[in-house]
Amino acid sequence: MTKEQQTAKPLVFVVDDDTSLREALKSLFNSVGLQVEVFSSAAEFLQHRLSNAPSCLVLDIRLPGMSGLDFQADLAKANIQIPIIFMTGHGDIPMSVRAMKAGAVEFLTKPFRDQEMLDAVQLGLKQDTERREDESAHSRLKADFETLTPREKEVMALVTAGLMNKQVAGELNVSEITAKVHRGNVTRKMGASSLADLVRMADALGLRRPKS
Amino acid sequence: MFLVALGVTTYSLVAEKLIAIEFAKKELIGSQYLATIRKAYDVILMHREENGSARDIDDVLSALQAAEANASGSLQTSELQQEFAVALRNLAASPPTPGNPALLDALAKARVLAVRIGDDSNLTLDPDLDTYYLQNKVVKKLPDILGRLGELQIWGRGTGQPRLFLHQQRMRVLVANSLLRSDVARVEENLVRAYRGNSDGSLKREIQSVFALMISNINGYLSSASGRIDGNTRPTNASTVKFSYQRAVGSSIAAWAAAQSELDRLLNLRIDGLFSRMRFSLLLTGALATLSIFIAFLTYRHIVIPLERFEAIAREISESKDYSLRMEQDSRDEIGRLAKAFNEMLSELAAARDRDITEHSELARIQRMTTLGAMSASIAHEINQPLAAIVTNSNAAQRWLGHSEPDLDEARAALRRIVDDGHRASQVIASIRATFKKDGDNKVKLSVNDLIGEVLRLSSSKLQTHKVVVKTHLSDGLPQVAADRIQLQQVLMNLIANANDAMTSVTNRPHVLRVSSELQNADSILITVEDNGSGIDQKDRDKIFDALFTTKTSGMGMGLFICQSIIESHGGRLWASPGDLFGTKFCLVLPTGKTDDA
Repeated sequence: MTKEQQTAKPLVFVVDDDTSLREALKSLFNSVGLQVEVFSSAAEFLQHRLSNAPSCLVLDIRLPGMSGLDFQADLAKANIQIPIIFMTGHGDIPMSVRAMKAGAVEFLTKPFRDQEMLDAVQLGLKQDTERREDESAHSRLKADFETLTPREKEVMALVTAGLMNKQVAGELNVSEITAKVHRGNVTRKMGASSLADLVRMADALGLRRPKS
Repeated sequence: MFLVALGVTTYSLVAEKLIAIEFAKKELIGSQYLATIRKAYDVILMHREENGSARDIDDVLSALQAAEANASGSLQTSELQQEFAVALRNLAASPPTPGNPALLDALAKARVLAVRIGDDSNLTLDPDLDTYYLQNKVVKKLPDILGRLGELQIWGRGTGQPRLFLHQQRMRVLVANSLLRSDVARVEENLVRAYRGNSDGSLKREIQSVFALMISNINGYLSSASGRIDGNTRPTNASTVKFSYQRAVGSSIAAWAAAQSELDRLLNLRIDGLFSRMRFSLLLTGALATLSIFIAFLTYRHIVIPLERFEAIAREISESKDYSLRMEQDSRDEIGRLAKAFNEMLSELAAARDRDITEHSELARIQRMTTLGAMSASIAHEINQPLAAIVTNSNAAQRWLGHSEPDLDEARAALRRIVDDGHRASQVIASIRATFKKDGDNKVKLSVNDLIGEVLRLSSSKLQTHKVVVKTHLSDGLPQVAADRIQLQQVLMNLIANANDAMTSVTNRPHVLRVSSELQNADSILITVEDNGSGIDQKDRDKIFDALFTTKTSGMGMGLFICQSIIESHGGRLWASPGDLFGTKFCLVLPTGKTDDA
């Protein structure tokens, strides 16, 4: 899975009802080696299966049937996290402020400079990549946690809460030796390099620490 | 309602007076009856002992019957009258002897009858003191007096020899004597009271002398009779006694008659008074009714008629919407004030309506401007779209060619798209021009000066805000032009708005907007819109009519482009030249209808 993600090429989605501009943008992004998918409407874009690759959306604010801002809100509501770069024919300040507040990467007025567009797209892709890495690290952590036995999960919670081995043993009513063995297993299975590392993992997992 | 109240009032007034009149009339009937009884007394006391003719008694009987018939219904005396009649017949049948019991009986019966009539008199409760005392205390006593006179004479006569007077007889005479004296004294007292109750003094005038005579005669008789009884003094001549007796009886009857006639007079006076008061009351009621009707009429004239006019005007206004109608009412009363308020309200309404119309036209102007704005935005988008594509395609082509191994195919494709976009942009411009040409169907004949006035009026608030002085120089008698009113209005508004904008930055001279119209030549009209604003740079002057060209920070650069398109679609021309001193002069030439006709 990790391997697959690393090899996936970044992808740019373009949604604009003007065919000519769509083609021009595709050509521009291709010329810098970016994969491009173009759509003439928001509905068409939504029918397309989203890729696992880092991606961003270049969106005309004037779309047939639906305003780009409304579309942005809809995506946020559906928890589809994709960086958006807005294009507008005649942008006004309130509109751009609204778009930026809702998390847009950039707001460009047509005709725009190619470098500005490319920079915005690169920024969007970077944001998406980071978000995806965060997400995958978290899911890897979760997978590792699931390999622990129930007793080892208990030991991890107690250890990360700051209890000494002796205390953990007392808490679980086992010998100190057994507690030590469990602790060693936890550290190995979770791939933690130190106790501090393990505590960070417990935080990321939202592990509930029993009261000391 | 009003009439019913009036009727009830009148009826109660009349009924009340009629009751009083009926009351007085009953008294008159009683009085007539008593007159008959007086006659009976006269016969019994005066003539009986002389030559007691049965004929006199028959006369009295028939008179009594007539009086009873007259009084029946109002007096309940028939039984007593019968008894009296029997007594009289007995008297007529009996021989005239001293101490005749038939005579005494007749006297007693006469007295009873007279007293009954007196008792039945309503004057017992009379509020007028003169008639009350006269009837109740004086007249009612007179039968007693007459009776006692008769008794006294009968008992006192005896045989003419005082010595032979029986003791019993003497006692009776003494009692009758003293009773008579006290009766006379009481009559005297009550007469004084009656006189006091009579406000105008007429009663005293009429009867005082008669009663004085009666009293002195009775006293005279009493002294002569007592002399006979006592026997101490010189024996009184029987003829002297009889003479004084007759005088006493005659004057008593006369006094009674006088009192009775005086009563009648007073009662008649009262009836007349009542009648006149009733007439007065009726007259007053009538006058009040007339006054009421008059007031009702005035009310109708001064309130109802104006109210009807109010209603008519209100209805007419609601139907015709003619707010210039006014209520004509100059009076100073409430209706006049109401009319004034009503008229003021109408003026307010008219003003409000005018404001409404003005606001409405202002709204229409804003809507038109919005239309132009929306059209400009739409056109801008239409042209901007191919421009954006051209720029992006050019960038892409440059990048493809910039690769270490230039991708000629991609670059070629991009260039091809650029060509297409260029054509597309020019088509947009052409289609806009075609749009205005197509709208030529809406052209009507219109006066340029009227149109200028209209536009200046619509722009006035904006111009006033910026302290712009408008100077117009409009030539008279210009021919009409065939034009689309709305479109031409848009052009002039746009030019005026531009002029206004051009002057906002100027602070060192007054803002002056000059608008003129004149005949340029036989077949065209020249309209100029000149400002004394900042002016246009020489280098920009050729570009200002281009689409998307603007010198304004917030402009879209469509205004003048559209203006020119419109004027050209009207077969005219629009250009700009520097103002005479400052600013810019926009010239607009429109062909007149004459060329079309020619």
